[in-house]
Amino acid sequence: MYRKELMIVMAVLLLAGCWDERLYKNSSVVTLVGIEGYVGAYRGYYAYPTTAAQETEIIEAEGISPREVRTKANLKVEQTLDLSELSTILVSDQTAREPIYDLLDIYFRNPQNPISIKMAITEGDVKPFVDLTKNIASSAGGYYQRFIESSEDNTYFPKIDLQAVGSMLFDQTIDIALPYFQLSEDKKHAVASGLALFSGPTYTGTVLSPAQSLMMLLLMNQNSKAARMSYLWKNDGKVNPITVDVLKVKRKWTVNEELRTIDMAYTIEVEVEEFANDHLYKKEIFQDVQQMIEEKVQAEFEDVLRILQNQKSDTLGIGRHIRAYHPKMFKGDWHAEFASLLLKPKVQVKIIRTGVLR
Amino acid sequence: MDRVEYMMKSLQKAFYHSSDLTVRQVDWHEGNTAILCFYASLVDAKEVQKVLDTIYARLDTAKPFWSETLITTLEKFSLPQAIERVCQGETIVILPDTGKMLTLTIVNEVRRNLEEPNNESILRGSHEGLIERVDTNLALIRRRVNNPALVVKSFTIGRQTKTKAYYLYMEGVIKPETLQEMEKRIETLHIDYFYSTGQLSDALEDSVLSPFPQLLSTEHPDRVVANLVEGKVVVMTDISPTAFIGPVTFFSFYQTPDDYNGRVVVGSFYKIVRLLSFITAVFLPAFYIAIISFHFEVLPLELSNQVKNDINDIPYRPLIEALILEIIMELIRESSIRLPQSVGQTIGIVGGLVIGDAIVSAGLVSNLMVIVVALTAISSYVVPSVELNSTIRMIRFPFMVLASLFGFLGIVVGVVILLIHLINLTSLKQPYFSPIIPFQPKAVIKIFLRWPFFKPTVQVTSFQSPKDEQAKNEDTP
Repeated sequence: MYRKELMIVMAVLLLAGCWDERLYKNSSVVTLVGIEGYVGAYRGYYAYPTTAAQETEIIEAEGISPREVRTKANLKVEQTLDLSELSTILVSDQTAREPIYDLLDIYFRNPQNPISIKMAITEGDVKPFVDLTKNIASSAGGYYQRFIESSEDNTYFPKIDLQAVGSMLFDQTIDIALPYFQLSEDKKHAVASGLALFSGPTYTGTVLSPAQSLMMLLLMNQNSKAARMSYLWKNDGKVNPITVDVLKVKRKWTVNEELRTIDMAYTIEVEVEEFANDHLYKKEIFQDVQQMIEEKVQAEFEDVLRILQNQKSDTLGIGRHIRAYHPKMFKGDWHAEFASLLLKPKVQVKIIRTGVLR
Repeated sequence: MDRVEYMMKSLQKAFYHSSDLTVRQVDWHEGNTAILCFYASLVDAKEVQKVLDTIYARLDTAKPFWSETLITTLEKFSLPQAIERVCQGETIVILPDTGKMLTLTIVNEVRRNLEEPNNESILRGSHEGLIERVDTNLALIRRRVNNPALVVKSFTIGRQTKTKAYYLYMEGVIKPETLQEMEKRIETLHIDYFYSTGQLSDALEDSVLSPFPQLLSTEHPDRVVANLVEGKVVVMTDISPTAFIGPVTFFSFYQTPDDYNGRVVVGSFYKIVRLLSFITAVFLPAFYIAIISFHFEVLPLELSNQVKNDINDIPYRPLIEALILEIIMELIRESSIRLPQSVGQTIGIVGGLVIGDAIVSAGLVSNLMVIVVALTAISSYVVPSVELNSTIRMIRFPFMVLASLFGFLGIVVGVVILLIHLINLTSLKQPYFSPIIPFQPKAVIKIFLRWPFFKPTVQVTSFQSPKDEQAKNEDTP
């Protein structure tokens, strides 16, 4: 009897690790994944730190599906590729032209994959973007993650992660806009160069410039820690640069169902962060500057909205608003409907702080 | 044969001709003889002689109470009683003519000085410690409580050794059922030879097999008094400086007189630090094992490279690695206790520097594991009670095994079992995990904070929530 119990206890102790144990030392922690190609011929890049030399090692593999790419990549590594510490996925712009969920499916199926990670679109092939991390940072994924997060803080990128992307891809009424990276001229750095607009599951091919991205995020009422806009103020033949930081955005959308117009009233409260001319306490200058910024923002808002409508990319979530509050007006094919709406932005800029200098 | 000689023979026989027994025939009043009998090892012979001289002088004056002084008394002679008296260190003078015996209580005092208990060192407050003599200990306590409500009841442990022991309580403060419970347990003590306090605590505890101590043991008289006035029973024996206090809660073991001798804010801070150390002491190695064998995704990216570098060349599974280091840690502790203090220092250096550094260079364990185990060891030594401290160091091993088998899930299951056990446990039939279960919100705050003493107080016990709002000072060291 005792022998039997002893056997069970020993078996439990000695068989530990036979089921779901995965030892850290037997795993290669992949922090950055790059993927390009199309269905049937994908090519993936996996960046992980080598333990001996403290360098980033990049494994390249091909396959008919993203999952097969990963399986093939595993053949080239002595340990198991483990994606549980993944922090960024890079996708080539060509690949994103196809429905992008095809690439993401494997990340949602495995509970060990983190979904609070960043995603970005690259201009052209992914390879140079993955390769450049070798020289720059100790952790490849961390480089892009920090890059995207700092741009989020400056209101150039929306705060979305893989989970949000996944749910928005299946939502007819809102579209995603993903960070877009270009190579610097010397090909040694990545440059954040705006937002890649999506219409439904596919990339439209249009990229908003960083300034336009900021405007779009203001339209979305998503200003982050800093949202800076710089303009030139002309007065008496003199040119003065002025930079303002958006403190608060208040928006009010008024939908007219019959005329199919939306009046988008925005009140933007800003703080002056740079204005060498000073003398903002003089009413004329103050009014003039405020007026000037208001006009510029108004023009840019109209510009951005036009681009969005042309690309049928409803990143603002107007569809959600309509479906929730004006269900009669909502149509099944929202993207076509969105493009035909008349959007009338109306901006009011208020300078509420002029900085510590008076 | 002469009657006196016969009695002497039978006395000798009753004491099995022990060498340190003195049986002597002496001259007594009016030509009679008497038998002097005592253990030379227990009696201060010089003092006995002085007292006997006084008695001789009194005999001649024929006073009716010639025999009665503070330390002498006259009673009827019977052999069993005489034996008992002699064994307790008294001197008897048997008067065969009258059939009576004179007993003299003059015990040779073998006692050490009052010293600070070095297993419970404190910074501020009384540095007196209990010793191995119950009368001295009682004096130390009586001096602190000048009140007849402090009741001392005596009993003997060990049917053969007949060791003196006492239990103390404050009349009017103690709950009757607590006292009854303690008296019941003392009555049912069945020990023949009593030589170790472990025998007593085993008999008095509710569940002996639980890893958690259910009686607080201390050598600090001020700690004893603080618990007495809170309505607890204290048991002391004549052979050990340890006083057992019950009923206690789990959190009593985390209190030290320092919290209360010092200032409020500082005392509260260290109370919190000490309680948090329980978590690191029990769960840290298990947590580490679970991370590097199951859930390494919880590591921050910046740290993960470093960790991976560290553990990549370790030949063993994380559990084995942890066990190696933990066992070494326990060995160092055990050896430093057994060795004299001067050598103990050397052990610290050998253990800390030589093993700690060399074991990493040798590639047996990783740097991080050394940090984890060191942190765990430090946290476990924070506990003021020696008993609980050993318990904590022991219960982390099951957690390590569980973590290596099932990861975080294993730890969670372990915590559930631990909590079930703690909630079920009682100390003298009082809930051990009070005030968490049964829940008393106000008392819970006092576990973490040392409440100021400035409010007028009504003395309360640990186990009843006070009805009076002003009854604040229920937490004591």
